[in-house]
Amino acid sequence: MKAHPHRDASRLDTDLTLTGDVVIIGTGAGGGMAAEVLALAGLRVILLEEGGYHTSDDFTMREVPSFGRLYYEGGIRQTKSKGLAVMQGRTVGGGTTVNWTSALRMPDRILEYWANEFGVTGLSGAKLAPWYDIAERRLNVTLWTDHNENNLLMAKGMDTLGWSHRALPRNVKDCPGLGYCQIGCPVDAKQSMLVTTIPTAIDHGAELVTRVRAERLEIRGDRVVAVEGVALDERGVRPTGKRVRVEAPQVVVAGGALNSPAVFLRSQAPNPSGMLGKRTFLQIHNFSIAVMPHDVDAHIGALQSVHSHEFEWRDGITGRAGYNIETVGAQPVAMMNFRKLLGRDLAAFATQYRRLHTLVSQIRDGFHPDNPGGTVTLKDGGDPLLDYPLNDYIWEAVRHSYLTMAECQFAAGAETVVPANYDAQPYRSWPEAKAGIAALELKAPNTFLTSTHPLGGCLMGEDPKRAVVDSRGRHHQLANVTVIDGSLFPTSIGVNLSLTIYALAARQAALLAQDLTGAVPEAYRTTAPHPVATPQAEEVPT
Amino acid sequence: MTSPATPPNRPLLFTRRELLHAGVCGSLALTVSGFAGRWAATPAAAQAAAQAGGYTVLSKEGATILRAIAPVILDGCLPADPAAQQQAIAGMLADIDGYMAYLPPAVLTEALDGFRLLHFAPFRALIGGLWRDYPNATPDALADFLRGFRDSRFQLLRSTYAFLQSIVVVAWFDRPAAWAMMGYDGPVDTSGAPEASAA
Repeated sequence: MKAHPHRDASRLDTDLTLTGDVVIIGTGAGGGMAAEVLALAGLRVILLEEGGYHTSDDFTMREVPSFGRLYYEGGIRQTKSKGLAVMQGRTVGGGTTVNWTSALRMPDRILEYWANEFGVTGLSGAKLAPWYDIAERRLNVTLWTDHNENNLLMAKGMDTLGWSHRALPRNVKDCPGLGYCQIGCPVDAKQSMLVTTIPTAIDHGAELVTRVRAERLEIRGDRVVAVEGVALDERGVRPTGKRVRVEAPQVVVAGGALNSPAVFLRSQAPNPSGMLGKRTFLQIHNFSIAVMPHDVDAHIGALQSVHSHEFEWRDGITGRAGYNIETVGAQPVAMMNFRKLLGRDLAAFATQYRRLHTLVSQIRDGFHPDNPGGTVTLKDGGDPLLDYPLNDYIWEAVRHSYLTMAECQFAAGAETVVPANYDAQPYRSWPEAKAGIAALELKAPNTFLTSTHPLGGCLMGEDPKRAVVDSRGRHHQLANVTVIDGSLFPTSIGVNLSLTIYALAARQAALLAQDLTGAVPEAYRTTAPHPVATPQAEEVPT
Repeated sequence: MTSPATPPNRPLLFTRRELLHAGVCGSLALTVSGFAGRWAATPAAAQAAAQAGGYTVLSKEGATILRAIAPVILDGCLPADPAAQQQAIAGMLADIDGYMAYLPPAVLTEALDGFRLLHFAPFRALIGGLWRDYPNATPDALADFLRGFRDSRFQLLRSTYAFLQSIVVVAWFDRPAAWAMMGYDGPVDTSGAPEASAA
């Protein structure tokens, strides 16, 4: 698909001032949904995107240039302690352009937890269900059953052990299973914001400006009167000196975790609750790598199509951290990066590539006093810096999941299993793995951790003394600002983020459209559930 | 706090280096910032220096270090023929430069400061244990140098190892020449693929 009409701020030779009804900062899951809803409602929408307008016309399926072009900080946006890298998309479509399309609804019990612990109202499982229906219909979410060998092996291991798992729904259309989701779908099968809501919004009059960083909100009294942006160069690295100013009576902040808090911090927005930037969570990912006796070719096919919640609630909601388990299929660069080997060890690992079977656990953080989440502050120059402490609470969950992932992989027939940890040597049996993992020293950065699920930092809740935004994402102090993205989540959600952000964003934008125009676009009125099966606890045939 | 691990069996050299590490522990952060302050090039000057070396952002120090450690990290992966190996490494440095050109200024500065510090002979020798300069160091000495950082008790040095190892590995395995030994066929030809219609 070609880029839709837009303005590239890197080419500006004068400053630019735009006016409209709503300015939206960010074109990811939140910004994209909001743009479509509000443009369909007849509002003049202006979208600001820091990244470039990269489409399937220019996705190269080569990892190194793609990580540079499509992600914040080359895909290695590190936490303050350098304990792990947060991977966030920076391109039109945001994270949705580079995610793996796993589209699960969040557990009802976490919505209840939000209501009870954070004073969030109007968001129960029943209330959110119609919005999930709308998002699933809009983005062609369907249950994926054509599991590649990597995913079948996970199911096989789990079946042997009697652990529950289910097939994953994915937001794809005619997906040929090329396996390049992470660096941009070259055939537009992935129904990201890039190929759905953003084009529709532009078709309905939305103006998109790319390569512009929303530097700050110009605040007067309790309102934002303009968004002040800086034009960036063609790589989106250095300001060109040209400025972009957008004046609109409504502002939607949709930069996502880290980025949305940073906008407010740069603007010195009021923060009486003190929660701005706080409670940033990561659903930390840790990895177990097995070598199978036969070729797996995990990098081909739908990369992720099986999901296990077996250990999500291993100690209730608020005990030791639960986690989910999914698979990883990685292209060479990403795969070789999991283990920091040297010389002959690295070469030997490379020759095993086709037989590698990799599992990831995503730790459900944010539910325990020992895990209040990270804090976002600003670096010199204004970029966000996340300080996320890795403590015993997190390490305990990492160790537990290393054990269960290894057990699963041996049950699936693995020859060897190694946790992605410098100091670990591959184990040749489950008993050896069990003993080895129990004794393994866990520390950063030797224990390889990443996050593709950053959330929080603009905490939602009805009480202005305890939260940054209300249950609709409306800023408690700035009357015309709404946050529509994953930064308002009070905790992590135990599943991949995108579908929940799509659903919440649709709801928030529809409510905003109702407020501003008295009506909601037809496609976003809540109706009966759509007939395609929502995810069931379905066994994967092995 | 983590579970205790069996301490690795370290040769005497590492023990001496650990003592040196301990000796500069408190001043390590100051050292880095001190060097950055003393030698800080303006972004414009840094860019000019990179361009003089034929790169967009990669510094002379960075190129020197990467050129030396690449064959050690990728021993067994790089082509054996010296000319082919040189060519591969030159291509990798160009790709690393291209990638680093997308890093925001604060992150790029940190990486370049790191290269500058690693290149600084007293640091290289005393902390890294590398007594000869990078172009003249033996493969074994370079391997020891890298392992010393990897096994350091100081997270900053372990993170430095992770960065150096990662950037070299990433640059090599993105090249078609790396894929044969992996059995990876490379990106598919999607030129004939029907485009899924936009929703």
